[in-house]
Amino acid sequence: MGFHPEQVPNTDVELVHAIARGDEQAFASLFDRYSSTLLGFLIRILNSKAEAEDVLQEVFVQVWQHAPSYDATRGRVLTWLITIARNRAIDRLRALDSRESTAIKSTKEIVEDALSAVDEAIQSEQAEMVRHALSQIPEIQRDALLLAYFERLSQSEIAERVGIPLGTVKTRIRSGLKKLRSLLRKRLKDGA
Amino acid sequence: MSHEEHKERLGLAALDALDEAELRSLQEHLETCAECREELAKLRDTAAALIYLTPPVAASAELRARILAAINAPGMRRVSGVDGPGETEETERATEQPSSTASNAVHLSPTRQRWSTSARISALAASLIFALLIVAIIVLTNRNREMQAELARLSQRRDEIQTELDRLRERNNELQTEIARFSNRENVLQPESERLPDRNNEPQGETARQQEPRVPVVEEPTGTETPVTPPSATPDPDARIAELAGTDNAPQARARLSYNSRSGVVTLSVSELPPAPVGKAYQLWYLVKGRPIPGGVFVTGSGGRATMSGQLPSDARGASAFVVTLEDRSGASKPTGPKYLLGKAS
Repeated sequence: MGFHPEQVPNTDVELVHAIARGDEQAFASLFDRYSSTLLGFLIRILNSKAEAEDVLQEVFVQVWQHAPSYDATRGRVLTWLITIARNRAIDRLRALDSRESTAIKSTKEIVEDALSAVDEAIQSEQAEMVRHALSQIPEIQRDALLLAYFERLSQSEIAERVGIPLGTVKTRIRSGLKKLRSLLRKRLKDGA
Repeated sequence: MSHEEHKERLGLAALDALDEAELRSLQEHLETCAECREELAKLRDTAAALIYLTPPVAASAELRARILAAINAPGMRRVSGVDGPGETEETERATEQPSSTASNAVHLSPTRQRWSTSARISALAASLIFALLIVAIIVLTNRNREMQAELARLSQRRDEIQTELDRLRERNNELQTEIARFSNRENVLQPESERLPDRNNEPQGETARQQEPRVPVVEEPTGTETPVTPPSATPDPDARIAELAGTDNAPQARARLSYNSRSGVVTLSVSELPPAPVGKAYQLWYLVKGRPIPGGVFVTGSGGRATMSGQLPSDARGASAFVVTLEDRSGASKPTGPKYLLGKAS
């Protein structure tokens, strides 16, 4: 291993490649970079910090094990991390559902929670941008987006929840994402 | 489902909101459509930005330490996509990340002894040579057996031929003896000691010589086949006479040969001829134009006398001279022995 600064993994992708090679330092770096984002997200979905912490451990163990299969052409590292986090959270929710019923938040609650975070003490620039962009997306599109994203509902479930045709769900989500993307594109930074 | 239809579903896919059938269909489409793959990646990243809607929560130091230690837990495997159906499914569905590659899989070689290549080749060569030797031995053994049998057959055949040859030789001897006996039976005079009162057995020799003048023996036609009869001492007007005198081998020997042209009977009377050694006998020869024609074979009795009568051989007519030689007892076809009596036809 060389000791030149340029060779120290810095970008998200470099970190993941280093982790794939068994670099525990890179693993720690990636953890420090995104663990709070993911933990907050998991707490939001699981409604429990304890459960969220357990799931966070599952997520990063999976990152360690599957780092060799990460393909940068398929999406950014954060996207990959979020996907893992969402799936582990869903699995945990299902497991918890068998034991106790989990209050399913209404659409309105989700949206309000999302938009009310403006009062949080620590806000990142990105968070501000996303909230701002979301507020500019037509409501029907935004609702569909958030339902799918946070509650991981299928299109048929969304259609049923919102009371719209199935094809409409598909269209709204696609439009909403594209709009969001265009709003964020210039300002959404890479994970560097 | 068409490309456009798949494209419309990319938003849902970015949020993992597609049902299983649609997801599988889209994944198949994505394998060959780079445009959709690109757009899906972008939409996924956009969707991921929604995470910023939730406030971040810092992990405690204890949680951090726990998680960093978890990756060193015993049994921790670094193979992607094979850690359970849930994770594989999630990885494929959510991230479209290939889950089949295990680039960090460690391949363990079987811990068994391996021969080096050269040792294996040597062993193989040795085995081949051994096998060839076995085959050669078997082939040669069979060949040897066959040749032994052939040899036995040939030996037996040789023995058979030898036996046949011996038998033929013996038969030949028998025939020769038979011939000699036949010739002797015709021509051999009974011993002088037996004086038989018979005109046929009157002692010859001097008396005959004195009484009969020399008469040339000329060829005369004779059609009669007269059986062999004892010689006649009576002067025969048809007889031709030839006188034979002894050679240096027997100067005292005398012989008279008379030929009856009517009967074709030739009579030879011999005296003072030394006794023939054992296994030997005297033989008469007719010389026709210098060529000797064999006559009868005889032995002498007491006083060296003998009388022989027989038919004149047909090719002996016109003989100009007569000879008596000593030959083997069975007779000869050509005179080889010493001459004892000679005489010319008159």
